[in-house]
Parts: sequence; structure tokens; C-alpha cells
Amino acid sequence: MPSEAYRALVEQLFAAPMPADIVEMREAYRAMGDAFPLLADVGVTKATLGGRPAEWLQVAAAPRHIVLLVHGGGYCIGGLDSHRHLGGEIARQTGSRVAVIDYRLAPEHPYPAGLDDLKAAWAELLATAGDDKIALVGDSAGAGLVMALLADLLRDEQPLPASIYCMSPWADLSDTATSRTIKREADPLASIDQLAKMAAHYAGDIAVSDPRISSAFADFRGSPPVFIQAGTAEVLMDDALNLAKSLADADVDVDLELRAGMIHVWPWFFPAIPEGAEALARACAFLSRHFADA
Amino acid sequence: MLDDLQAMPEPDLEWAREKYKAERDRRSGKSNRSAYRTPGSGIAIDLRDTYRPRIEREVRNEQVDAVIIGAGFAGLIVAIEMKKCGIGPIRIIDTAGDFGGVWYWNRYPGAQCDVESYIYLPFLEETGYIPKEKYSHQPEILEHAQRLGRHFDLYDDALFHTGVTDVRWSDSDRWTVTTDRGDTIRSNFVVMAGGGQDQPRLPDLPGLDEFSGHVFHSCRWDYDYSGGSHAGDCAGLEGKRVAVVGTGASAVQLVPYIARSADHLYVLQRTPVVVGERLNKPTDPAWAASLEPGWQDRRMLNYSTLVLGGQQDEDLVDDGWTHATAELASVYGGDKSDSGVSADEAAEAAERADLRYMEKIRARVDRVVTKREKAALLKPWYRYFCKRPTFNDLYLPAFNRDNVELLDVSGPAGLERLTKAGFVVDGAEYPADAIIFASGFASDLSERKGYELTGRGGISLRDHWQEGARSLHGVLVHNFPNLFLMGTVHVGLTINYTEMMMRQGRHIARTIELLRARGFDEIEATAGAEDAYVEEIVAGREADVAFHASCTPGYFNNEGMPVKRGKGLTDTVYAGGLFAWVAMVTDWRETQDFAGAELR
Repeated sequence: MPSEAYRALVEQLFAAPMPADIVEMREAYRAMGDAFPLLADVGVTKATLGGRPAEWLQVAAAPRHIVLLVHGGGYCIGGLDSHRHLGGEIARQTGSRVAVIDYRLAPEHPYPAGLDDLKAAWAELLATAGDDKIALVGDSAGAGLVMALLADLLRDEQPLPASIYCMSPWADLSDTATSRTIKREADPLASIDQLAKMAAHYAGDIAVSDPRISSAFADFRGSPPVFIQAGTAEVLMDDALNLAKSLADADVDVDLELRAGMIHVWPWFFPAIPEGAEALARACAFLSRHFADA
Repeated sequence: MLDDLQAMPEPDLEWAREKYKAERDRRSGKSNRSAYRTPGSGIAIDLRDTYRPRIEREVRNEQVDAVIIGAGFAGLIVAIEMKKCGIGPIRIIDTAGDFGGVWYWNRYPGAQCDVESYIYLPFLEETGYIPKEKYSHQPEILEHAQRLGRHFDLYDDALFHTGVTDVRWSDSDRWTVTTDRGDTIRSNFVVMAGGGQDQPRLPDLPGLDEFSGHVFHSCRWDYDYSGGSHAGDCAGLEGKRVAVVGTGASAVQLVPYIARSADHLYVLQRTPVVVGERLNKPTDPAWAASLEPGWQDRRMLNYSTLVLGGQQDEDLVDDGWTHATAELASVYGGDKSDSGVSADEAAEAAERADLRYMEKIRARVDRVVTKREKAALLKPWYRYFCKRPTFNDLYLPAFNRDNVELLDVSGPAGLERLTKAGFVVDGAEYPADAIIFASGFASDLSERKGYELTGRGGISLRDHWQEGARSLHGVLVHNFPNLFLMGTVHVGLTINYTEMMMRQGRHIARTIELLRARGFDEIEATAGAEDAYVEEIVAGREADVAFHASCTPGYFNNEGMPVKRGKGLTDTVYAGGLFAWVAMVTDWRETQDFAGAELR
């Protein structure tokens, strides 16, 4: 049974869909995230990471670990303001320092700009982290980017993160998956038309089904453990399933959590809905467990 | 909670400095001392004594040897020490209806000492009393004050429910003390033994008269309204919406009890307090029976040596205070001059030690408080001694109750005003049946005293202290012969207030005894000696000012404006701590023939 707050949220999202224009969408997304209160104990430090603006979110003065949080937003929207609350909570629950980076967005900067920024940030973190362990976290397109980075790290035999957490990954930029159609009416957030536009913005000259763009189909042999969450009320549900299958095919430890009736990246709404808070708590427990193991 | 300090990774000092600064800046600029009301500046609530009926008595018109103003532990101790030295007759005068001072007035549910009772309650060996618990609750402490009054036969010397209105010197009669009962008492000596926790302070809020519910301050607890007792069970609060304003040492103790009785409790917090573990326990009779004569003095000495950064073979009290000061010793006491590290290195090491300890304090909040929004707000972000630390095992868990709501009033608007029906925080009105101010006490010396004090040549103490307190050793004042101060100004401190009063009381009684043994009747600090001592005090506070400038606003740092010049510059302590002060005044008294004082 979804909570009252959850039902109200879904109703509200159906009643007021995101604007279609990219510029307006960026502002709406920024304002939605920024409206979630940052808890009083979260410290925010401005920084530069991989040459891009970034923020460190931190609650403990003596963090042991680092989380690199890669925000979602269809490769075209999102930034520091949209994800500060999420990063703060991950910092709080895992006792880590969380970096959020403001990577370059399409359509101004198509592939590989955003991924290059992420790689540069990762390299810088590795160089400065010392004994700290690093985890990768992404939601939606952010999760797609994280998995694209991971695939490259595996291919190039680079140092790997301790674990990876993907919220509702958008890791298949083609529009062939069946969830695109059967979940269409249930999904208040992602419209098929918007997804197609954003995919084209990001992919530029490359085919959207290329694994460099659609990381759900990459080779993940040797990957550290991955935790994937997705809801059954999202057109991107199959991305999670396909990603999990690719990971399982490669003999990777993968925890796939599918929740009935949940919408795209519902943990992002954690301050407003208990389902989000519970999902995020499970994910943070996963991250903490693998920090301890790594 | 000191368990795995060693396992903690090295904390990020730069990050913590930024975070502390952000927390301080967020609270600065809004509040300052003028934003409070005290009895001296027109407090708007009822401060009458509802604990004891006022008893009519004859007006006193008499000559005594010493008048002691204040019947709390300071007054009791100096009276006892004077009696031991054969000084008398004495008069002890207090506005309260009995001995006890702070423990007479502060009777709120849960009130408790937070220094161990075996060292906090004075003269346990003389009176043969052993406290029931490691940390006594208020009724037992008040009883002990009464026990001291009876044991040392002081009740006949005391004038209760009596307010001193004027204290005046004349070269012919020495001191004349007049009271609000019409008494005129001439005396050779006067001791100012008033403490700092009896005169309430309230935020200066619009609408205090408009509020139609019930209002009182924690130090004038209204049991007629609340029902129940010090042990709680406040049936009168059942079904009521109650607000507690403030989260300092009083609120930490009373909030858990109110939470159990009130229908809904709002706790209004500007700055979260440090809450360490209390771990109270009943006294072990076998331990009590094993105590050897002299045990209390040894225990006090052991404790103060440790909390001032010194070394002892064992930690007899072994509690939150000794643990914290052991961790932070490199900051707050002890002599580092011969350790071979530079001052900067020592300061940074101290800051790191502080940060590690505060991480533990904050981790405890996360461990105990399950609601993350509440936990986040309850974490203190400043250095350990920025504000008075507290120790309590009931306060933090109280926030896990659904009927306890924590309201953050640290923002620019904060607690804006009271209305007919309740109060307004950041623009939102909250209905309340009762508002309890646990907002602390008047800390300014002139606000506290409540009477005029006029010395030689008609000069008032207020004028003499225009630019802040002036004294020799925190005891004698130029132009005020035979006047002795007790308290925390210009003296060396320790954590245990009553031990300080023991040391000061003995010093004052012994000074009078020696003065007379040498054939004199009057003692007064010379202008030159007072100037030199005040200079020493001001020089000693430089490090203190820098430390307090980094803290969130509060009464320790003049609401965020630690003064550097002008008024209040000298209202501070002797930097060397209690033992250096005792050594200094003992030497001065016993071997230097009262150098810097004029004897007549």
C-alpha cells in the first residue's frame, strides 16, 4: 500500500508535468530539488573537480569514504542544486564525503563531454583520495553515465570503485524496450517524446544503441557489486532489467530491487515520501556494507 | 562514549572550521545582550517566591561583625569558615526563604547537579552525610544546604525573604546595610556572596503581555500550574500544549519530564547544546563505608587537578567532565611551555583533539535520536567549551517521542513574538497553553546585584566598575574597605563551583583572622595594586577572546561579541586556574604581608 504522501506526490506530478522546453525544464528541476530542505548538519563546500564546478557534502568531520554522485536529468538538465539534498542524505547515512559534479550537458555538449568530465573527476578523486574508498552513485542518466564510466574503467583495467548504486538507470537510449509502451500511462515523469529528444541531443553523431551511449549493454566482467533500484511505474523499468542482465551475464554481484507502483527515481523525493526514505536507507546500507568489505 | 576515539580517522580540520564558522555566522548579528530582559531591566513575569510563605519578623537595628549577602553555598561556606575563625556575630541575608541559593530557586522537574555530588556538596565529612546518588537531584541538595545551616548553627544568623537595598561605607561606622524589611545593620565586614543563577533572563519578545496562556521561568517553577513535583508527573500539563524556550543546562534537565506529561511539547532551540553521557547511579553503601577521613578534600583535589589539565595516578570521579578535560587537556589547562612544541602546533593539536571529541558528541546524537531531521538539528557545531557542556541520558531520547517537536529558532526571524494564542516562529504561529522560559540568567554583574553599594568618599561600585570589574585577586576593591567579593570574577576557576567557594571562603575568613592578629581592623586594596592586577587579568584574556570569537553566540562570549575594549573588558577570570590563584593569594596573605593592600 503506497503512503498517503506518495499518492499525493504522484497526483501532483500528473497534474503538473515538467515543461517541454530544455531551458525551462532545467529551471523547474533545479527549483524542485532546491526546495527540499538540506538538513542542519550537512556542510556544503564549493569545489572544482575534473575542471568542473562541484560540491562536497559532508556531515561527519572524519569521513572514511567518498561517494561520487552523478546527477540525472536526461543528459540535458540537472546540477548541483537539484541534487544537494540527495547528496547530503547519502553523506549523512554513509558517513562519507559526497561529491556532486556539475558535468557538461547536452544539447550544448553532446557525448562524450559529460562522460569526459566524469572521467576527469574520477581521476582526480583517485589521485587525492589516499586510503579512502570511493563509491559511484547515479540516478537516471547519471546512472547511465556511471555505468559507461565503469565499462571504460573495466576495459582499461583501471582502479575500480568499492560499489555502485544506480537509481532508475537510463542506460538504454533506444526506444525499443517494452516498458516504454506498457508503462506509458503509469509514468508521470518521463515522456517518450522527451526521452527521444534528449537521447538525440546526447548521442550526437553516434547511434543511440551504441554501448558507449547505452551502457546497459556494455561488458561488465570484473565489476564490483552493483545495487539497482527501479519502480514498476516507469517507462525506463526495462533499463534496470537489461542492465542487471548484462551484469549477471558477466558474473557480477547485482542486487536488483523492483518496487511495485514506484515512479522514476523515487528515492530523490525522500524528504516527502516514506517510500523514498526507505529505499535510500537500503541503498546507503548497501554502500556502507561494501565500504566495509572493500 | 570514549570507546573508539582511536579508531576514528583523522578529522578534517579545515572542513570543521568552515562548518563552525557557517553555524556561528548564521546565528550572529540578530541577538545581543540588549535583546534580553532581566529583573534589572523590567522583566515582565512574576518572580515572587511561591515556595515558602513570607514570615513577619521584627525589624533589625543592630551592629554585627560581618554581613554576608547571599545564603547559597557561597554564603554558607564563608559563614562556616568565619565561625571557625571566631568571626562574629554574622548576618546572612537573602531574598530567598531559606538557605540554598540556586537550589532554592531552581526546583524544576529533573533539576540536578552535574558535578559529582560527593565533591559538589560541601562539608560531607563534617556533617556525616553521604548523598544518595552520584549526581544529586535538587531536593537532596536543598536539604544539604539546610543541613549545613542547622549543623553549623546558622539559622539564627540568617535573615530570609529579605532583600538588601543599600550598602554604604562611612569611615566612622564602617558598613551600613539596609534592607527592604526596614533593617539597618552596621557591620565591620561585608561579603558579596550572591551567585549567578537566581535572576532570570528572558528574550525581549513583543507580545509577552498579550499571551493569554501561562508563562513562567524555569527558576520560578509554578507547580500550582504544572502539578507534580521535582520527580515529574506534572498532571497539570496533561492535555496541554507547552513550549520550552531555550536548550541550555536547565532545559536539558527538565525537557524529558515535561515531555512525559504535556500533550505536545515544543522545544525552541537557537543553538544545540553539548550533551554527554550522565551515567548516574545510586551510592554504593560499601564504598561509602570504606571512605577514610579526609576523603572529600582528596577527592576534590584529585578532580580539580585533572580537570585543570594536571596529572593524577587515578581518576576518582571518573565521569564526563574528567574524560572531556582529559581529551582536551592540551587546550584548557596545564603548562605546555617546556614541552618543546610551538604555540601554533599546540593550538592545532588542541583543535584536533576538540574536533575528535565533538565528533563523538555528534555521533551520540545520531545514535540516540531516530528522527533524522531532529538529529540533524540537535548536533552542536562548535568547540567543546564554547558553551556550557551538559550531561544527561534522558534529554536526547525525549526527542524520539512523537509529542515532542523541535523548533529551530536560529534563523534571522527566529522566535519573533508571542500572540494571544501562542507564539510565532519564522512567520508561523503555534498555539500554546503554557510557555516556559528556560532562557538562563542575568549574567551581567550589575544586573545581578540588585542593590546600591557605596564605598569610601561616596563612590558607587557601579561607577568604579564603569569600564568593567576592578579588584585585587577578585576579592578586594579599592575604595571599598572590608568588602569581600565571592564568585567567578578575577578568580581562578575549576569546574566544581563549591570547591571554588571553599577556597574563597577560607581565604576571606583567614584574611580577617590574620588582619586582626596583626592588630588591624580594616583592609583595602590600593589603587596601584588594583590597577596592576586588572592589567594582569586583561593580558590573560587574550587567548580567551580569540577562542570565544570562534564560538556561536551565548553568555560565555557576550552573545558573540567577546569584548576587546571598553565596558566589560575586565569582566573575566584569572587565567591561571584555581590552584595558581590559591597559591597567589595564600602567598600574598601568609608571607607577603598583604602587599598592595592598605591596613588600618
